[in-house]
Amino acid sequence: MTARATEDQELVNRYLSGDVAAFTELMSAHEDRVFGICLRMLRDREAALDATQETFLTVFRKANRFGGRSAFSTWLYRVAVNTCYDALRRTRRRPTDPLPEHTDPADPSSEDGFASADVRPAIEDALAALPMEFRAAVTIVDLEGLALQTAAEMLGVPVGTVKSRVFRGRKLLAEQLGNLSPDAGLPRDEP
Amino acid sequence: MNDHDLALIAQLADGTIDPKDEPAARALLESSGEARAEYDAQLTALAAIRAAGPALLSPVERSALRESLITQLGLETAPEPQPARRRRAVPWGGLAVAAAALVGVVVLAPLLSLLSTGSDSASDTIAGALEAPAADAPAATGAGDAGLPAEERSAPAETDDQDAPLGALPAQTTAPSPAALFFDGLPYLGTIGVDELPELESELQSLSIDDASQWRLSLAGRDGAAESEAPLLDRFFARDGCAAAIPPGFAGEAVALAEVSNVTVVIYRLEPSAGAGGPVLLLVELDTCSELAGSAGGG
Repeated sequence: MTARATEDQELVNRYLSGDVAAFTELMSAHEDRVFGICLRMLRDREAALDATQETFLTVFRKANRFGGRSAFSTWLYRVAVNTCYDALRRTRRRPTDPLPEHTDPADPSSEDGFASADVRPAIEDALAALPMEFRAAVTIVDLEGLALQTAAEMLGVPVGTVKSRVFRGRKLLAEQLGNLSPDAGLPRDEP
Repeated sequence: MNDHDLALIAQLADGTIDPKDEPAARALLESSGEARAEYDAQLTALAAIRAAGPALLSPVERSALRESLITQLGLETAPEPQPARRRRAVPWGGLAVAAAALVGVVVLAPLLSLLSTGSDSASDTIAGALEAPAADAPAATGAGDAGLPAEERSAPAETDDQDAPLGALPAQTTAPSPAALFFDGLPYLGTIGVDELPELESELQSLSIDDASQWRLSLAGRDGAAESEAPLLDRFFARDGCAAAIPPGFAGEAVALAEVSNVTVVIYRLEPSAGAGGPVLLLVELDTCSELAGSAGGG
């Protein structure tokens, strides 16, 4: 068990013992990464904030049932991914709901690149074009930097499947980035 | 390009390649234009990913998120310290054997029959098999929440307006809905939001599953025997990692996901092709892509 995992387990125990400070420490350790996963999967800042909140509510409410079979972070991120899948499924089921027409951040201060580097439009659009399973794998492994084994546990698939999705996802991403480039679709000058 | 070559090229691009594989990868690059193009694509994607930077909460968002959670979790005032919950010792070995036997007899046998024939009669048999133990094997229904205090086993599913203090689940005052029964005792709801319970209930009822406790039973039975039964079932579903084929002649959609212990299950509604009978509701373990149980439906 890693130092982070051990520390998380201790924080969960403290939280269950009524130590509110442990809540803050767990949030500080994981809230950005959960939000990052949700933002890249959902492509909408408001939806990502909602999913982040729902994820932490689920995890803190069920913390007393966390069995410790895997790292707390793996469990947390898996709940985040599932929450995002659920949000996407709800969106698909309710086609009359208007889809966001823009991705302006809900909080204007988040436009500050230092305080909150938002998803760059080009890669955001390219990611959006990827099938969900590829988008999730690229987001978790390449953008969030989580280990392949952790990603496999989060997604509930073998490590080899994660690798394949990441590699193929990158290829699709490159194709999309090419299609989205300003020069795409324009006739090239003949030499 | 095959998977092996793709992996070599991709790992060369992202720097994770095993040193002993690097000569082979570079030789591939030299000899194959397709490999070179793949390498360039990987580099392009990685450069864009690295340029993207982290997605962070703004200070205002961070503060609002924490305040909202503190309110909804009832943490405004520090609760009295209480000892961490401890799971009651459970004889998992014995439960696993008993559950395996139970599932083998009442679920798997007719299920395998269904898999081999796809007949309506087999489906009917499954429905009966799933219902029968619910009445005469109450001990098995608790496996999904084994180890939890009795008061928790009977607690209804949480809702957003049930913000009881930490560790105190709300008392059950009305008869739970079938959907609430279904989720009662699950360690956590992986992808089902509480706001979807009515929708799920409606779905279950539309599928003539008005007694959701039978599914709870089948989940509980499966819980203790996941490892031993998985190899017996080789039908897979094209969802997430379940990359093999959907059963011939069927199309459908996942209608619910949940976690039972460390096993993820999906309730998968299948729509029989025209003129074909068979199951309309299946439980699938996503970790192994194995079908857990099926229920007779419209076929």
